[in-house]
Amino acid sequence: MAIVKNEASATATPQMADPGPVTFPSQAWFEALVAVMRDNVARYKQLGYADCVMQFTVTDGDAGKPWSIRLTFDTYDVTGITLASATREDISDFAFEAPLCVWKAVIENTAKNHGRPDHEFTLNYLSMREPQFTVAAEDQLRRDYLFRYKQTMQQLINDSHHLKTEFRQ
Amino acid sequence: MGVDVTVDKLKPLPGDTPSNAAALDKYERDFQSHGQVWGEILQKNFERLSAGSYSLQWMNGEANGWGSQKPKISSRGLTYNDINRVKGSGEIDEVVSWKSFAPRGSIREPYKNMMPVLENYDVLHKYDVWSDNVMPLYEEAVARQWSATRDIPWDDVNGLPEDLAKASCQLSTFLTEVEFAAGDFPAKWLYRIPQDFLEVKSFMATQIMDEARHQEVFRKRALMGGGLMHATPGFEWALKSILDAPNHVMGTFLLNLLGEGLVLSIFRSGEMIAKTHADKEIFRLCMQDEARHVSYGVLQFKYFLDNHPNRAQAEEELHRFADLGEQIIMTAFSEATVNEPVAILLGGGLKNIDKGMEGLGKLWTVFIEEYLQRCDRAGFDRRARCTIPMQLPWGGSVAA
Ligand SMILES: [Fe+2]
Ligand SMILES: [Fe+2]
Repeated sequence: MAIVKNEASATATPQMADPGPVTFPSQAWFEALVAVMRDNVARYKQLGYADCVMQFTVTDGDAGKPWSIRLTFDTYDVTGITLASATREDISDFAFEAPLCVWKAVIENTAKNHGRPDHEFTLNYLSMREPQFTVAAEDQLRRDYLFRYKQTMQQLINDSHHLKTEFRQ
Repeated sequence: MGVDVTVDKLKPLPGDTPSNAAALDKYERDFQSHGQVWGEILQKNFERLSAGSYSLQWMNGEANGWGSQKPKISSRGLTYNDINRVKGSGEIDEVVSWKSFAPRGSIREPYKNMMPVLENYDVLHKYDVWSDNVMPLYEEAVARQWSATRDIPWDDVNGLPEDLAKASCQLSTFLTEVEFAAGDFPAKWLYRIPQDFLEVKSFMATQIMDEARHQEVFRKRALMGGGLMHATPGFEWALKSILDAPNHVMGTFLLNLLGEGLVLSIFRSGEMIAKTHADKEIFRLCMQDEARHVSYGVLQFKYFLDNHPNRAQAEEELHRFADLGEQIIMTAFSEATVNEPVAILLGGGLKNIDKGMEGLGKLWTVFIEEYLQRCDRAGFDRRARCTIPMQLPWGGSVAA
């Protein structure tokens, strides 16, 4: 790649209490992420609302077995954070699926760059170029939700830099 | 000859200034031909006003149950969905008979004979325009607008080596060329869709706005990166074919489902191969808009097929159209002004164009599979008949 610059997050720093280290993957980590999202609601309102159910799957996140969580986006908020089955039938709209090493690289790169991941770590880039990162969906119309709400999803991942993340070994 | 013609009496030759006189003559004649109704409206109102009396007849809202129901506001505000739950407001006829501006749900029946009939409103079947996601898509479009002037870090686009800079400008020129056709198509049909399909018209208006912004952002991108580059004849023919589609559903298939589905893929690739943050931002923002247009296309197509009185015939005609439509799109995408800049950006430079072409070949297979999946979702099985090859017909890609 000739010139690789950083991703801009266009984010005001949320004023939040330090929740201390949180482990990825865990429900607590995603709850902490949604808390950051709520502190940053002005940015999400600027991006526009999102209505979909998104699933994160760490394909080896539970002692080598899949670990999965489902986030329900409603308007400018996430109204549901529930542990989910990693089976494909359980997907609501679409799911990001990747092993822990990929998620770790994404989260660490985003943190290192203060919410501005390098170009090779954006969700879109990973979904097209990273063989271990897939976007699963029951049908194309539901997969298209990801493209409709791309900025919101990217913002959410960018906001993870506000968390002190520890990784499950 | 007996005719007294001298040079000083000759009328001047017609000048170069175009005249609107003929159009104005016709407009006046049309006005006069409806003189009676104009006269009746004016006379009735003039007499009442002269007598110093009020009508107040409009205060009678009984005919549509005024005051008996109030929409419930949902978490995001007051949406079309919320107001359409009010009886009389949300019911949409399968075939619309009102060809005027009178709002659906208003008290309009008593005035029918006094109203003009707009003959241009000739897309009267709901199945020709409706999709089950059109209302949320409209609301989403309004909520997710952005500004090409404000939201792109424009000072970030400079500093690319010449090959990548030119590839970026050529890709932007091509996108500028195609974007407004995607605005002209809904604009052309908007005028033919009656007011009772107000949700569809509202969504189409957002698409026109989206395409204006896409044209704007890629024009700005090209000029910021060095300048506009080459136009693309293959795409000119394809764009004209979209505008000339025999009916709204066929045009929607060609534009929203097939054409914009591929443009959405280009935007995703654009984000992936972008070398600057500004380009990443441009492609992600455009991607969101484009995905709405594609989603409307898929479910409009599905609604049409599910509700057409003769599905078998409708499907066969659509297959016949798709046979041609796929060739139109395939021909357009074969143009060097489109695939070569993408290959250069994919490969990371002109010296890696072969590698980039291999990468494009792999992406192409994904794109066509996504197109076929969108057809599946609409209930239109193109797999056996698809005329676009799953693999690019040029070297390198197949073996990659
Ligand atoms: Fe567009
Ligand atoms: Fe579009």
